[in-house]
Amino acid sequence: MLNGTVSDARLSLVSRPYSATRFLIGRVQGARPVPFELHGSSLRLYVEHDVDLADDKAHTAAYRYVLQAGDQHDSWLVRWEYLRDRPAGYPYALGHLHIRADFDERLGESSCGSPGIRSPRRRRSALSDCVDRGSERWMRLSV
Amino acid sequence: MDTTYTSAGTPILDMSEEEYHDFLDREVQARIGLSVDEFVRRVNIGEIDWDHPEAFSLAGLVGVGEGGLVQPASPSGHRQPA
Repeated sequence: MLNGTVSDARLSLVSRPYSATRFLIGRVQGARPVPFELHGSSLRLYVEHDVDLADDKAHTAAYRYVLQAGDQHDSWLVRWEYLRDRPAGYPYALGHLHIRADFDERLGESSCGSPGIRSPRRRRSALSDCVDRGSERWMRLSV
Repeated sequence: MDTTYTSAGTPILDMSEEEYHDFLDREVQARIGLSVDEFVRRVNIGEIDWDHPEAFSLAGLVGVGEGGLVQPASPSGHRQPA
């Protein structure tokens, strides 16, 4: 669905030699997963989506959708992530959204790393409450 | 690495076990500075820093539970209730 809508970039299916039924969906170039360009934006979208094929259906095992400012992973702005199975010792929710944000007292807005992503303070949502409380540069929100 | 295509033109990349190990190793090394073997070892003994921005996503890329290299927290996968 992403091909031809938000981007012309082509996603690939990568088979996993450790499993006959699990595939990684992502954009792979030069044997590395890379983000793809978006129509009308300089931002990039990075996609990793793992599926298990069973009974002619695809079951999600994990995903990671990252909106980022450039090609580098550390330029991420928003990360939406999920793991079906909990790794040992992992303490947080298995599905979560990370927002890279600073609270700008002067503007009264929460700026999420990009001038185009803002959460007005007077419209108190769970998201903006959480962003307001955070002094860290990134935080976790259970979804 | 062999590449075939679906009828819709989607590439299907088939890697050997060695190629796939190298594929994972490059990503883990680039994102968190560990070899994939060391990353998996640390995750499996509970010695990974889960607050590192890349740790969770790398666990997903490496794979948790059946079909992956990372052991789930319990045999049933300790899946989160819907």
